[in-house]
Amino acid sequence: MGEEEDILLKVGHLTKKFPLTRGNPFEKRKYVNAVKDFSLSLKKKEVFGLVGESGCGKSTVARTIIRLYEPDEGSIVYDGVNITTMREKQLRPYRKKMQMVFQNPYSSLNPRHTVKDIVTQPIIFHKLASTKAEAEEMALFYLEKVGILSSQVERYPHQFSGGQRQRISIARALAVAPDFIIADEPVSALDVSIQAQILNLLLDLREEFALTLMFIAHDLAVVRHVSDRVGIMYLGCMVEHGPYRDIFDTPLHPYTVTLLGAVPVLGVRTIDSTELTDEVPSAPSEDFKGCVFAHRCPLCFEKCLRDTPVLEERTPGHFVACWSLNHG
Amino acid sequence: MEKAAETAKEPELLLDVRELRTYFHTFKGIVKAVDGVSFSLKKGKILGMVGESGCGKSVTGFSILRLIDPPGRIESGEIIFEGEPLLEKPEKEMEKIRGNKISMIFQDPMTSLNPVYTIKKQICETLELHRGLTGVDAHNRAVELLRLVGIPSPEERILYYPHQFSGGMRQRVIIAISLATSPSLIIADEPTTALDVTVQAQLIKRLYGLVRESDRSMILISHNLSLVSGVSDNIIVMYCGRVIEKGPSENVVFNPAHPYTIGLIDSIPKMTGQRKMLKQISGMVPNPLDMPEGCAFRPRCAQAQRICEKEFPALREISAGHFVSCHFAGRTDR
Repeated sequence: MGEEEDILLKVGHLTKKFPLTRGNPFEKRKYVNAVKDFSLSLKKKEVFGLVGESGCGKSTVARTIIRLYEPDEGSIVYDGVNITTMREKQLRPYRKKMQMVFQNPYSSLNPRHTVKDIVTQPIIFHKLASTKAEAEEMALFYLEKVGILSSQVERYPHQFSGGQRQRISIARALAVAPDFIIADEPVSALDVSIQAQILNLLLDLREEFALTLMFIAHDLAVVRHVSDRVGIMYLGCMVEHGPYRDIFDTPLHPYTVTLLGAVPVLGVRTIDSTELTDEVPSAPSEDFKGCVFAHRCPLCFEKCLRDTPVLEERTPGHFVACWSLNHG
Repeated sequence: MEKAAETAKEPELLLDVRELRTYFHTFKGIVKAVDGVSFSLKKGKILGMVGESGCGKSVTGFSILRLIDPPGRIESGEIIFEGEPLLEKPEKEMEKIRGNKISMIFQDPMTSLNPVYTIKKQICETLELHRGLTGVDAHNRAVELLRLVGIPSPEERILYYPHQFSGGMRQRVIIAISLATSPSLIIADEPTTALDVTVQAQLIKRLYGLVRESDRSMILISHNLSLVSGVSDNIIVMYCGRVIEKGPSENVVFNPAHPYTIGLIDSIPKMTGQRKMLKQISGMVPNPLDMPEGCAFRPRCAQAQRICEKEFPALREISAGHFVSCHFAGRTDR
């Protein structure tokens, strides 16, 4: 029972479909599964890294969890409360507890507001301060935490560099004292030297404010650096998840193996890395059967085309969805 | 006799850039995007050019092709390509070199193809312009090129429009176009930055193979030092429009000497081993309109001393072919 109490977020069999454009208005509407049967439990104060290539549904998962998208199936339980179908008004306190940092620091800040206003607004909205002055003081506190000087807070977003803007985004997320932050590709728009600054900042803040973090990225080295547990997604499905060491040292799913092999490593010649023959196909339609990776998989056999593999625990905490592991 | 044999073995010089300066004359002042860059490239070699956004690596690439538009201007320097000075050539002759002897692969595969023409038309245009191939000849050569870059069933795909291809496939088409005229030099400016890692791995391997097989040369411009180190013979590290370190790949990667290169390597999260706190380079790149006196890296450098404020450090050779622009790098007495 004690373990149950430690769980902050429990996502069960989440599915999110998007309609495809129809050829003509009388045609039956078809859907793609952006996310299919996605389950995840996050412990308090854990950093969970979610990796995958573009279009694999990792951002859709994030947006569905914080109810920016309405889930089609499945459940989202936050701190013991089911928020899957909660109305907006009831949901408001949870919006405060779950914050998001977006990828693009150039478009996620309002260009017409000063930085101080940007960070003060959520504090006022969630009524965390009794006066405006108090709210501004809180905003300055969080801005200072992320390294923005008080002399800079009257400036507008365009006067800051990409790294500084990402710091402001983080301050805005922190300002409402959340328990859970989803960072969707927070460093992919930044240069390496700035990337390291932001990663260090995020890890420091997590310590200081006891945050639970869901870290979404396509850069495997970055995810390895920050995460306690890692999940690998491919075409809307989680194919493997487990402690970061297991995923990076003993990957089991053939997709994870190729993905790790494709990452360029400093000083290693790119000659005989394992290579996938095709490119990522588009997301499968809703009546798709079998393993999503089957068509590119070197270990594919007939069962993979027929039945959808389920996540099975291979070593403690390390789950893999692949038929070939049972096969031979 | 012996000397002749030696020079025959040593690959000849293809490109020699000397003290190149490209400035942008903006309303706010002069931006020295490239400020005294020198390097050379031998035949059949791959040169990696690394640096963060705004360091001048792309402008250097564009300058070689003389593709600098106002307010930008190549102020001074020399670019010697196959023995001929490019900066002194009339525009008409440059047109014969661009896309023919030197071709360029751009970063964004979504915008560098024309959306209203089939890719056949776009490949054949290059073939007709530079090689005089038309009709069936051009078609066959185009199909052959598409096969070379790994596009499946090229006979059918050649009639596709760019939007019918994925990002990776488009970048393959662009590589095919850049190879159409058998250029001796390919300048690839962040060719895989917009692509996923698995696609990036495929493309870089393919590009590497194509360059190596036919004894071409390539300048690979990228912000990703790991990627560059995987294919390059030599690496140039740029910071604020200047070359701060250059040398053989292994030297630069395993024995970096400039504090910036060291910082850059330390700030890349590692894929194996124990996780450690990332060492970060504090501060940020200075405003290009307000460059510090002396060494441009000084405000961010932990080892900076008096001399760094006053004197710009010239490139010094610290081991064979390994040059560093730092007053203290490689010195035992620091």
